[in-house]
Amino acid sequence: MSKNKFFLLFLIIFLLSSTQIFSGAQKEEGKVTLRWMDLPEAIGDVENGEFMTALKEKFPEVDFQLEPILYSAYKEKFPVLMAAGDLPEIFQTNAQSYLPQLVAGNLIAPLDDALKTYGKDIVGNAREGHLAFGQYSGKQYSIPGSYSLKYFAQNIRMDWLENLGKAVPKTMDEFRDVARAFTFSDPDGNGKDDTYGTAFRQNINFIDSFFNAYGVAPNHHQIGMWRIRNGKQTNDWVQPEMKEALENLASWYEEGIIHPESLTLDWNQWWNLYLQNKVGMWYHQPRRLSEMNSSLIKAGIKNAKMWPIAPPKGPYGQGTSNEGQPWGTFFSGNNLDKAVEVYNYTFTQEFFLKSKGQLDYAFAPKPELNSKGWPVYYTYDEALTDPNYEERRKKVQYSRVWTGWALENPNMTKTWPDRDLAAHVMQQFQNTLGGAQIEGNKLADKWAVTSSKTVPVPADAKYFVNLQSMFREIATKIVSGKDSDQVWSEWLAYYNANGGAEIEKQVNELIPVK
Amino acid sequence: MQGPASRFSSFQKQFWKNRFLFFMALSILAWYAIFRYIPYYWNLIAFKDYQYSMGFAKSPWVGFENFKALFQDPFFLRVLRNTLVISGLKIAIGFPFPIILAIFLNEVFKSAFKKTIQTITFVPFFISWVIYASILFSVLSPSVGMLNVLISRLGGEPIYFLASEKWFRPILVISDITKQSGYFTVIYMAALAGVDEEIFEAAICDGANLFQRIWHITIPGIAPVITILFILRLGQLLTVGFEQVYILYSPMVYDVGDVIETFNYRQGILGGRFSYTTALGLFKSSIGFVLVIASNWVLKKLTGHGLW
Repeated sequence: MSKNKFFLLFLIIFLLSSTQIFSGAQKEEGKVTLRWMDLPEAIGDVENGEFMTALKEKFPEVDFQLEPILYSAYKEKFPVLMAAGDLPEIFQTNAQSYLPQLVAGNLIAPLDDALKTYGKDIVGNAREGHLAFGQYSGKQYSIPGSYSLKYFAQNIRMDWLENLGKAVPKTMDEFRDVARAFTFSDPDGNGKDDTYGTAFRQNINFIDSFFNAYGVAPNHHQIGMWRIRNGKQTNDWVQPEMKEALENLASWYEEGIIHPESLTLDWNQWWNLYLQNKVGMWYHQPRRLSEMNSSLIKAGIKNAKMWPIAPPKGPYGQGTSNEGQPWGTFFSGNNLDKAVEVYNYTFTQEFFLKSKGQLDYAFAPKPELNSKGWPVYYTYDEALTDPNYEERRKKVQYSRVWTGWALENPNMTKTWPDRDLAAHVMQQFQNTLGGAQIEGNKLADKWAVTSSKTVPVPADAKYFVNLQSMFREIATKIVSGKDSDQVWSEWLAYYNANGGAEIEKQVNELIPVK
Repeated sequence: MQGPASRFSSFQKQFWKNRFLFFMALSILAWYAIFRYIPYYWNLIAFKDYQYSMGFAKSPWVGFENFKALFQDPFFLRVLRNTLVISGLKIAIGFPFPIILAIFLNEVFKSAFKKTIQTITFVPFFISWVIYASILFSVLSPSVGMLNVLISRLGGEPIYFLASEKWFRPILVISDITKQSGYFTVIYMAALAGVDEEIFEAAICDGANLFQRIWHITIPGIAPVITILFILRLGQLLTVGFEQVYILYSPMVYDVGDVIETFNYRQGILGGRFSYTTALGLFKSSIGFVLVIASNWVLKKLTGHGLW
């Protein structure tokens, strides 16, 4: 081939490929395009999973374009998508942080009209009170997840208590005494000084039971906890009790009864400390206790028993924190009616059967259906003992799209015509629960504190992220032993000068005190 | 002397003769245009109050308001101070280190030893900061880290290095030197290879000792490379290295470790303050631009070597 011919061929290939690059994905003719953004922990074969197959069969006129973003990258990518105005027709986000910005930027559509016509199952099967989490300025802007928000509990190693001859602690002083024993009295009997009373995660995460004993809390991932004080909405972050709680936590830290790396631990490092039998108190979801205990037992700790107990009773209260607001599904407004119609279908009995029950975010159905053709979920014991369970769970979890559908929502099957099937589904949820979770759920229901600020306000859009970042910083500084008086007074000055006062004013104006 | 018409005709001939090379260069130029020059236009966001609903074109023009907000922000001074201190330390300690190492290796005659040291120092350059940081976490952990185990065995108290304001900056500087210096050592070694061996032999014959040979032959021989790398490094004075700081820092050490890049990330990407952070980015680039021009001018005056 001559040089010129080669050059010409190269040029043609280059131009053709450029045309392909810039043309983007081709729209299928006559079809309605629905881009759908999901936030999985890992990306599986969603395209060919039962979830999408059932949807494609029902809606042949829709061209579904899935746009998964790994959950770990969500915080970085979502604001950029917002700024670029490139949000898909259906997407999920946590409403608290972004709802005001999404509304102010006309990036999401109100759903009231579309829900009346196309959303009967969404509305009919919603968890009691949950639709309110998606309301803003009097309009419905999202479909909140229907999972329970009361899912945190204080947990403790019962086997360690037994080894040391200690009773279950009740008060803050008793908790401290037990934390000392866990740290200094070799609770696992291995002859090594390698255990700690408790541990939390970077940014003082997941130790809210400690704070609620002082009548305050940072709340889940520091989304803020608000309470009514003297008839007014007030932010826990700036109450004097918060300073007192942080100072007391600092004294625990200084004493060495909290794992020393707690100030910098990420999720995996934190979780692994518990799986490595290093820490005796744990504040998190009872749902994960079976996984923790079974891992410890498999590792040779035969009597390992991390178990839920009542949170510590402190000088100003007792409690655990709710998640706050559930994650929600939002709609950009393009092809809104079709998007809501499709979404509503995922809440129906027909879809449940067609997708073989692959909906709940936490529980996996078995590959086989029962004699009636209904999905059956792994029971608690089967999940612990079936060697194929973990593989199956991951396959199911990563091959469907999150919709907020939850077995634990008592209303989840309310609109389904076959009431026997509905009863079967509710029974399946009961079967999935182990003793620790049943006990933990009871305690969470009893002790969960809910923020009185149920929805964001417009000022959050401008100020919330910086205030949250600053709160994390000052809380960390105080716990690490810096001069709490100075840090606290700097924090209060910063809070008032950088939007805190404005947010408080709007919360009191817009969210009535009940 | 050629006229304009003649020069154009000569260019045409050259172009046609080297058309394949020009075509190959085209893709590189296109890359620069698309990813480096065209985005300059969007720096205008720094002078606007960017609103999601209005987009770039319709967002209101606010002049220097974002710059005012930046200079009034109590955190700006903190991140600027941290950036200058950390970057200054990296230049003051990290810049001469590979020069010294290259000269040392050049004077070590046993090639096997030379290659071993070169390989050991070069390998960390290819490890990502994520992996490198996880090694640091393991070594520096206050509960199980090797260094703290050693300190404890020697009777000392474990140190929480990555959460200590006293230790955080030294860790950034030392880890940066150990990771990057191998790469720059190779550049200086390559420059040293270009110095004529006969000059060294002549110096030895004339009775020059090792120090005199280094001072009068080796260093002048690599001075142009040192100058160029120094000017480029000064241009990056406000760039500490996002990955390194982001992976290693925590709120515990924001007072000494939060730098422009990490602050920009939190404010812009996580906080959605795009106009504000573009203003900060523009400020940082402008300082870098001025530093490159100024350092080139000063060094050219002092050493006769420069970028242009």
